[in-house]
Amino acid sequence: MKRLAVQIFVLLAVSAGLAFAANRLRTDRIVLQADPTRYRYQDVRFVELGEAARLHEDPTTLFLDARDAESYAGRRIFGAVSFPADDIETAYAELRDFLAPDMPLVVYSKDLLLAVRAARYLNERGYDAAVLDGGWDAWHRARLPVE
Amino acid sequence: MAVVTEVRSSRASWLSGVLLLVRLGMAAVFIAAALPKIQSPDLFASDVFNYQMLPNWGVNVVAIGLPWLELVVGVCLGLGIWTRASALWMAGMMVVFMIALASATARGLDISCGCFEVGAEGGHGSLVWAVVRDVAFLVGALVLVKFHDAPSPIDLFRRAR
Repeated sequence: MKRLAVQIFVLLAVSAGLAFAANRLRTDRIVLQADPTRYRYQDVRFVELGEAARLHEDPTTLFLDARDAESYAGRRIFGAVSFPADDIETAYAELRDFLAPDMPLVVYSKDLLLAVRAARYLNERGYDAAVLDGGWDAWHRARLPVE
Repeated sequence: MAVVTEVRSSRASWLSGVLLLVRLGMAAVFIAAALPKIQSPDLFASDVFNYQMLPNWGVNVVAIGLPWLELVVGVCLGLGIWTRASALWMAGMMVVFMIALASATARGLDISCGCFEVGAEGGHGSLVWAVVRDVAFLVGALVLVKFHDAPSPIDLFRRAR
């Protein structure tokens, strides 16, 4: 019985070792803290919270808030510009003169789909937009700069 | 007496053949289930997430670890290494899968099973079919738990030599 228990444990340990080693070697590795819904959107690039925080300190990066205008007016990532995905045409018309194709853009929202929609919209127009993994909630929870 | 011995021997040989087939079948099922998930863990994570049963970190742990557990126990079972432990893992996984599938069906989720292909579209009735299929696999695993001394390809190879 003890031998069986050891074998069961060893099988688990070997599998876990192989799994995490293989995951570590992958370029498209799964990040434990990542929001799994992001994997539905293979056509959009995501940035992890840590990388986003680093980009936030880079003055050339622009953060775009894809939530509605009311949420944006409440609290937002420090320095972020409103880019509501539910009125994206108007938002783009107002913002396009300030955007450049080589400007890194990080889009976030509370609802991942809104951020993905906004990022897709921008990428289709030749911009370099990525989505913040975990969105507003992750940023806020991590106590990163808000205003 | 000789007739009885011959009948017993024939029955044992028949049973050994069936158990070998069950062993190889179960091994093939688990290896076939593991490979697409190992190839696309992100899509598998999305499938696991769709069940709405685990927190995000739990989804990611399952997406990373489960396919490798399936592969390792599949290979071990196929080769006859630690058959009872491997079969117990299989039976345990089947029970968990059936609970997840039954729960998703009861909640009316229209999702794909994520069993043998990942990132597929959902389909009405596909989860029910998956539960039925998993019952058969559970029976197979339990048979191998019971008859863990059943011959493996390695045993046959040794005997042939």
